[in-house]
Amino acid sequence: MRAGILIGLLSVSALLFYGTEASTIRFEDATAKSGVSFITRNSATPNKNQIETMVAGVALIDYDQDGYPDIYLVNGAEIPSLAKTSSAYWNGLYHNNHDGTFTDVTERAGVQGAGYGMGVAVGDYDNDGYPDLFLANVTGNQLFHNNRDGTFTEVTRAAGVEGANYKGKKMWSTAAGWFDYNNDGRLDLFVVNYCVWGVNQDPYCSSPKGGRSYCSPRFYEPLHNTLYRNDGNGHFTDVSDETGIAKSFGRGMSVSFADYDGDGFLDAFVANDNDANFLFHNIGGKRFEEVGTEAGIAYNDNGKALSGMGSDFRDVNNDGRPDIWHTAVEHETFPLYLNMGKLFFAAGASSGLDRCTVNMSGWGNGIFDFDNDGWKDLFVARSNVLDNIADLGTGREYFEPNSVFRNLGNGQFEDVSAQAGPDFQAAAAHRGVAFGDLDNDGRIDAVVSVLGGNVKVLRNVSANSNHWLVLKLRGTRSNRMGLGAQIRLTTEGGKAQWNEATTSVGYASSSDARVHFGLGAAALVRELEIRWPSGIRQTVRNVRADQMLTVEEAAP
Amino acid sequence: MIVLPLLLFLQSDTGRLQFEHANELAQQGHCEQAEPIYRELAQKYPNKPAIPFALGQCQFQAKDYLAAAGSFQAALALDPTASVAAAMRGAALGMAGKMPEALEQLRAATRQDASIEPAFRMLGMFEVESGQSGPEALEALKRAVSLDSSDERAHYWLGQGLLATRDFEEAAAEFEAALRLQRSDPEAELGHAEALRAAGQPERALGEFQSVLQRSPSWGKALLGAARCDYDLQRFPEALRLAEAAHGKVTDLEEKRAAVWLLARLYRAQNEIAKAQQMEAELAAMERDMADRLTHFRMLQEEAARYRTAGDYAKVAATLEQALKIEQRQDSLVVLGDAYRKLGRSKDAAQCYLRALAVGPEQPEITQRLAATRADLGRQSR
Repeated sequence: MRAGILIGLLSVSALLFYGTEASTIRFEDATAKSGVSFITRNSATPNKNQIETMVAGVALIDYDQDGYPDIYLVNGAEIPSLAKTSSAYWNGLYHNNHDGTFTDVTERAGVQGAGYGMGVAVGDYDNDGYPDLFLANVTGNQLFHNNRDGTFTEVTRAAGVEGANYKGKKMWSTAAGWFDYNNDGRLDLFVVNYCVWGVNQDPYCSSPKGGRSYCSPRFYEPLHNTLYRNDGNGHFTDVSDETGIAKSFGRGMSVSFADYDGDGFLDAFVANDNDANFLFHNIGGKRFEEVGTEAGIAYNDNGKALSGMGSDFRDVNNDGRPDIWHTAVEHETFPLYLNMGKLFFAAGASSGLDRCTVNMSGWGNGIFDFDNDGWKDLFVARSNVLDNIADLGTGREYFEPNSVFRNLGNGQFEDVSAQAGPDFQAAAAHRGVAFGDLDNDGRIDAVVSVLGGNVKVLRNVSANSNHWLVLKLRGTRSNRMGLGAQIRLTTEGGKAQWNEATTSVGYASSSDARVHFGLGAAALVRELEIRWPSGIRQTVRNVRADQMLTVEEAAP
Repeated sequence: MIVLPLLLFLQSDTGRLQFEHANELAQQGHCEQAEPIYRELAQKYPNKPAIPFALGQCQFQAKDYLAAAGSFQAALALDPTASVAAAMRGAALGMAGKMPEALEQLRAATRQDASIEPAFRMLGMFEVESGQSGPEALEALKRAVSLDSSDERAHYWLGQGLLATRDFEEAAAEFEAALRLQRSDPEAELGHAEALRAAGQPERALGEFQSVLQRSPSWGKALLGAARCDYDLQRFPEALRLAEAAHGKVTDLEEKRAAVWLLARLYRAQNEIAKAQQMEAELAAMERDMADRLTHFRMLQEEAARYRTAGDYAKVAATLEQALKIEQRQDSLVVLGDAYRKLGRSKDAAQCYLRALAVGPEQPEITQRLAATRADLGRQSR
């Protein structure tokens, strides 16, 4: 009874602090207007190659630095050649025309990609002010250097990031992320690898209706991940062994970064598919210790390894400590782990998320404040994994609609998908999702890839008078994009919230590098404190709301 | 005891009196005295289905389920329209552990008579019990509840089915309905508590678990449930006390794993590192064991696929029989059935398809295979 009263008080106090409206999160499908026409192709075959289920990621990258995020989409390839044998398999780069439309500039930019694609990571590895592109592929990985003239040059071989081998074969990479693990001011690269696999060599798993079915991931041997240290001369060195990253084997699906224990070094969370999740604790920028079990994020509430998919690593309860939310498949729930310092608390049951997500299968996801009320909400791109799930007689369908859960500010989340717009009723084989403010209106939009269907550009049209602030960080001693910076924002009412500068969000995808805050009724930010990866703490005071603010890292 | 008026008619007064006497004895719980009378009557009146039916009920009460199934089968042979006998045969087979045959019989009974509530309840119950809480089980139990809303067991099993399909609010409502009919049912109370916790109401759930524990203080499931509620409410010392008590008492593998993981986290939260590490090691051992079993299963399945490609069906069968000892999978059972058919072992094939229908949802492709195999068997016997 007492706890019930407490929860009531908390939600009232949350409202008093921010003075927000009980806003409704709403997106409109702006794909047709955007002109983005891109179909994700997996070349599904009767052999049920495992790779077919997992295509592919999305990135928001302001490649021409005009202040508007552009869209990059990864694609599959023909099977069995695993080659992009026609333009239908090309990856796609779409330039943002600032009016809601986009122009296909793939060929001109030279970023069609090669081989069977999965994931994408955006980061300015050479600190020239223009973001570069890394592609995590089943086949050889690729690094494209941004030439600052609207074109890219592939520099994979020179950089030494084609992909590490395991048992003599290039590992299947699913995702990647840029972060500066040793705080030397240069972005390093974490590549997530999945399992040992060969084309048309999958184990035979039959469907009760006859024919083959995709096998459980547990039928495949897991791999270790790869960490590349940026040498600062265009070359990277594989430091997976010396840092301890290569000691842990799992079927990795996503990586997200945050400094969970506040020691000044970024840690990495890897969501694994049917293996215990990893939390790589960064020991002084020199080595990593895998502490997933000790920290309490390895397994779900029942002590079972889940089918981990996408992940995000940010503070959802405004206590200054980054939390972890990852997706999984039906009957597993999408766990939310609240950071209590060194340990995480499994808040799936107490937050209501278990109840909301237990019958869902999710891929890409993100923790963003979609209604600008000062509390970060949750978005998931959904679909079952098995294209023949309906044949199994479980009453489930392959296609699922996307979902959005509103943070009520009292530790609880509410599924508001029914009011979030028609897309949240439209089932499809959704995969990756990237988040960012496509039209610079202060509201976080989403771009979702659809396996076998056209990409979805979802424009955030949530109607309220809440305020916002978007920060573009410019590192000087830190990496140029400021990735890894943690920002504390305090509004005029004295309420604080935190966010991370990262592009590594969700499944196989890369989000807008700018850092977004919803401010509720607050029209003024009293103080911004930026903790840069260099260790510099910078404070900016009295910032008016509703603007895109560039902050350059101050001298020490 | 179910009495079938249509089956009761006996030709002679003596026979009728004997039958009524036996029924009275059975109703008073003296089946051992009733049984010889039924057997004698069965010999005298071999065309009366009421007699083997009543005998079957006595045997059922005496927990001689296989004999009961035989007696109900005898009643059905005399009157194939006796859907109650079909339902009871299904129940007897299920209780005897012959789940594939039980489900087949109960499915037939429900198709034959859509108003026979116990058949729907038992069909759903057996499916839920054997981990098959699919649409068929839920529909059967919902039908049972709609036919007889005062059937506490139907509400209870529907609650269990909904819990398994993660429809927590609906599950809680069904357990509540069961408890309204029989407040003292600890299983329904436990189910209600589990549903409430899963539905995000740990405080209410904890109250229910505590109520169960007052009567059954050593019940592992209830201890674990209460511990998890306290964890949800971030009352770690209380959760730890309960989890420690649950650890030695839960028997189910899933619950053991949950208890060990909960303890590991709680010991960490309480800074009891050595104990936490012990639990983490226990969990890792469970993981390794499961992984080893799965690896073995996968190897056998792949081997079977290779033999199938080579057309060596004897080896397909031998390999899959081994694999199925590790994990009962519907798809593997179908492939095994197909292999037996290729080998001309129709009886074994039919048994595989029946097992396939018991471990997974009913699929037309499997029922067609079963029917075709039985037709083969019919031709062979002719």
